Amino acid sequence: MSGVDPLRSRFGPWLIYALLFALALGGAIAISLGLVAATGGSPLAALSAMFDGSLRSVSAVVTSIDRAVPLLLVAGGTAIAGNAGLVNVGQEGQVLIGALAGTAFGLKVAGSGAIGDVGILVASAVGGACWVGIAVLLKTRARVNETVSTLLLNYVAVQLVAFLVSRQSLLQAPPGSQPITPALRPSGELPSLASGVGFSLSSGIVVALLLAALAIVALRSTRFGFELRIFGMNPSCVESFGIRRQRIVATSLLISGAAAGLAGGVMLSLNPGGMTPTFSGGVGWEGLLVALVSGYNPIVVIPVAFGFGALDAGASFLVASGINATVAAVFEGAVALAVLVPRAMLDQMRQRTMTASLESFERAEKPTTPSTSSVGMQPGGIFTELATQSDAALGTDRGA
Amino acid sequence: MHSLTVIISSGVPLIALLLIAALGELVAERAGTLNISVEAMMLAGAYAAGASALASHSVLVGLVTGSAAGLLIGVLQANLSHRISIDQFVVGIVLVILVQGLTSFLIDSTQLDVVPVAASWHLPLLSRIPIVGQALFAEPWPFDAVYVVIPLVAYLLHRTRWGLEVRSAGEDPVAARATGVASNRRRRQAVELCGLLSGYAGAMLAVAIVGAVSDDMTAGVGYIAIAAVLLGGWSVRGTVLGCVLFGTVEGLSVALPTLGVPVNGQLLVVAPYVVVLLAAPLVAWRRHRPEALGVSFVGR
Repeated sequence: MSGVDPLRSRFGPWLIYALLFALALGGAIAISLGLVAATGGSPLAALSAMFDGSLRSVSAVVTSIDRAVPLLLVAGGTAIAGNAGLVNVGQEGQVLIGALAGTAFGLKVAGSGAIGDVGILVASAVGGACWVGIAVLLKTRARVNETVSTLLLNYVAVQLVAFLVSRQSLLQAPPGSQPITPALRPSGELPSLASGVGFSLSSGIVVALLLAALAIVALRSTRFGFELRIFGMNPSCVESFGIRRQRIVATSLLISGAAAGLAGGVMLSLNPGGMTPTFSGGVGWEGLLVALVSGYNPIVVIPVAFGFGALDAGASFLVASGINATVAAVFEGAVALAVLVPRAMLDQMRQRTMTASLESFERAEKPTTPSTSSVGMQPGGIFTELATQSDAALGTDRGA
Repeated sequence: MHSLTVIISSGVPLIALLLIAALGELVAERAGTLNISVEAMMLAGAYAAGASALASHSVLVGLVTGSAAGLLIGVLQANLSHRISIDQFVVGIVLVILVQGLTSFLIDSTQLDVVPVAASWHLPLLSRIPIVGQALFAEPWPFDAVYVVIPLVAYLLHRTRWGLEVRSAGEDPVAARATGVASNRRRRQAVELCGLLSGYAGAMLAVAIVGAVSDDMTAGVGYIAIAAVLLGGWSVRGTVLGCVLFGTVEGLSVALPTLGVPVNGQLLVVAPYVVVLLAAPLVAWRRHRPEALGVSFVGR
């Protein structure tokens, strides 16, 4: 091997990653602005509108933060499940059911005072947890993949809410023609943290940051977090450490669902005026994206959530300059790829050099043919069939 | 019209659509990929088909472009998850979000309300059969691909060496690799085939069923295709039955209101999902699922 291998040096991998990431991010920006230009918009106007909407003034920054709060909650919970190697993609439904439970509590039990404020949030979290609980039961009792079940539950959630908010006897608002609940506010609104001319920062951010901090501590320095991460790295070896896998699966998914539900509860106070079946408005998907971009790292989740919140706030200003706001969604998706691809490429390069050096080492040690691994080989079934076919027809392909 | 005819003729297009996408998904899942991006493939196919059919005034061009767009998403999914080994679910979700955003942006910037629609083929004699004739044998011609795709997929999966290797890559990619199968290449090819078929299904939606392209027009049909594969216990026959079941239910949700039957709309929309969630435990018990489904394999 040559003396200077960038993958072995201390900063080499970081340099390669930074280079790849810069390339990919540049690509994402170029594609998004290219889209704007191709459809007759001005990229410069788009950038300036995005800046106006997200960062230019105090009220813009407050809007950005308010947009980031639900994202942070969703992504923080997702990060916990993700560290356990579980892919929960039902946040959209969990947010919706959370908001539904919060609304039901506010309308039917207590909508005002401290009990109302706290109760709505608690009910939301419980609602989100119950919704993911269906997937937990299916996973722990019947080995049903959690990704598929949470995905399908999203669609069930929308219809469930549609059902409840279009019945006068249940949650529909009095006029009775629109599928919408009565407004919860102002009684159940979260107290304002700071307010001034034209802005009012909701205290939801405090809840979100506190929970994010809790997630960081829980993952890094508790026994539970340790067990969870071990489980995520190798689900099959945990039994021998005395860790109960069912409990890890259940706890981490329930936390993830509760956090998403809580996000729905916080959104109730950010968007007053009744709940509809489309109330979640993609927050669940976007929060999932935030978690993926952050690589399930609960610390990285915080800045990424604020970044995405700012993008959202900026995007709502695009309409004024005649540009479709969905370009922000394209950009966010492209950013996710720009983060994921370089990371995976670097991992693969590392693995290749490791395999290469291992092979050259083996060759130097014993010049015989490398032994074929027989991991997972079992007699009977598909592989016997495969082997017999190989022998009969295609001897050339074997022993590669 | 006979009310049974109404029900069948609103179910058949959806069954055909689901079948083509679900059979692609079946191949991908047998190779070990639980391919969530089937939704992205269909949506991309639908948009590309609508836009190109409008520009060229040709349904055929639309179908080809739609399939190509689906294939493109398939190539992306295949290489990201089975070449540089990013988690397949993560890739799938990101692709779905990306394609939803992209198509939604493009649709709002272009006018695609009216798209050429494929003409119906009235098969002589067969289309005159009472009740079922109109529904089964007088559909737009792109539907006839179903009669090719079902036997083709069954043949590919179970009667060719390629299919055997694909299935082995889904059962145990490590062992398959040891016997000389390029596991990851087979997985990529399976996902790409899924992309081609799902793209075609999406194209059918645009140029043979709806005749327009709208925001998020697939609306979760891709996930119903995934559900059909699961309910069908990962076999061709089961998948076909699953698609027929879900297509009929979806057809009912369209047909019953027009027939004046009072029925809860939400219940019918939600039925396929609930059926799958309830049936999934039974299927998971009784049918063999590909052992390495959803498990990534690092190597060639």
